[in-house]
Amino acid sequence: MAKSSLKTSALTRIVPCLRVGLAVLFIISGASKAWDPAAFAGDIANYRLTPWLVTVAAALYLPWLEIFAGIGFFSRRTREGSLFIISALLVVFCGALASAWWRDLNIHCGCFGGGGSGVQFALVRNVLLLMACAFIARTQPPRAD
Amino acid sequence: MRIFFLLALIVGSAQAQLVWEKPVRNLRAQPGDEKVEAVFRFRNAGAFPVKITQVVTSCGCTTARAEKNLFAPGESGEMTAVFKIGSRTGRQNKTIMVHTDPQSNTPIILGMVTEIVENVELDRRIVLWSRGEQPVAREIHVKVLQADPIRIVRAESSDPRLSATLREITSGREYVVLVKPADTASPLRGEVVLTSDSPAGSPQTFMVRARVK
Amino acid sequence: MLRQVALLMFLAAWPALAAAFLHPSRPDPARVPTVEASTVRAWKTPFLWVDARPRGEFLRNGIPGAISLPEDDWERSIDAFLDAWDAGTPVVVYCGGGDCGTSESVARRLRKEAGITQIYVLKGGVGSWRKAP
Repeated sequence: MAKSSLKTSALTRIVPCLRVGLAVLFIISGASKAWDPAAFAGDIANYRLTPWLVTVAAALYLPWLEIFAGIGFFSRRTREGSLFIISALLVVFCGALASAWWRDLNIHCGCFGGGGSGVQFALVRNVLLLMACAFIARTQPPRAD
Repeated sequence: MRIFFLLALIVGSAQAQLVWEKPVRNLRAQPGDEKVEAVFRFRNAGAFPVKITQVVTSCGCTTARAEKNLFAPGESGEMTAVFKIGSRTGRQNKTIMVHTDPQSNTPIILGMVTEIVENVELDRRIVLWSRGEQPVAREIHVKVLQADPIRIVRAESSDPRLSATLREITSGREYVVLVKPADTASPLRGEVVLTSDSPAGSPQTFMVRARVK
Repeated sequence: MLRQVALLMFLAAWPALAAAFLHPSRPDPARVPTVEASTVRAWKTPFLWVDARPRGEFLRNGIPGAISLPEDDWERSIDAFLDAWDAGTPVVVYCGGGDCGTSESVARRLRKEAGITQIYVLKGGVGSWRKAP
């Protein structure tokens, strides 16, 4: 009984911290890319995965999706949706990074606008973030609508 | 005395400048135009004579020259730039860098932004098949962009293994050309020439290149 | 949850649309993407160099393996390009460097006329290639 309440207490503290951390990270990441969408489009183009028109659309839209998903974490009404979007974005980013690593592309990840870290480091980081999302999803009861 | 001379040079350099009326010109080239011309007017607003020492254009297709090289303080001049269009289409940005003596504080870069108006637009001019690929027909969409209609009257292939079928969507306005190789077993290098009915006597033609490789 | 996702995606669409029209650094859909020389050096898959400079400059110091395709000489040069290029092979167009718009012009034309989607302009021109590590 004591162990169970200790565990619950720890979770009660960890999960909100993870949520805030993810939220802040994605807001900063989105804002840094929204600042210079042309540069972000160049970073996406380096992955050689999408035609230019799709690249341009992604460069304009994705940063704002990250920002709003990050902000959404701070409200109970949109928390679940934010977690879903951020998880989905991380899956897509991991896929792109893995593809770039596989093809040995010497590029910046483009994660924080204007270049960013290398592909391998970004992939490991994103996998850890995805695990954090999975942890949050598992430990939080779904909100009854 | 020397110090005074040096000071005069420094002040003179700071003030040497050609002031341009419109450093960037937006131009339009109509179908059939071989070149466009722009005249850049300027004035020596400095206190010392300015010599144009070099004019460098961004492309061999563009030439630019002033009526003379040396301009006294207050004197106006003109630089005429000519852009030869060739087979170019769409928007073309050409720059002209003007070097002077004394040097100006900021580089003088003139621009010619030319919109080359097409009267007929083909969405593709090159069609390709890989060897062994299914020899499906490739569609070329032809649109007449000008106000007056232009009829495409004929689509002829240069190679008997390459067929070209002309379909009219709207007479004088829109056509589709279906280009298809008989097979893709061996390489093919062909052209399809579309002939129009305008202008009378010397009708425009449009070429589409077809390859099997 | 789906409603929440839809709401957040909807909210994000508006500033994105505004950026598409008003952001001073918005990407131009008509432009061809640029690529750094260091990135190209690391590409493992085959690609084709296209030299957009006048033929004399290409003959003097073109990148080995490049195809000369100056816009001034398009009709005469395009056949050599088509002989060298296979569908699906990425193309990198270069010119003298700096703000030379010739490579952008040639790249746009190739994209439009040949439908090449994987086409890039080398940032900094041929000079950046020679300097790249």
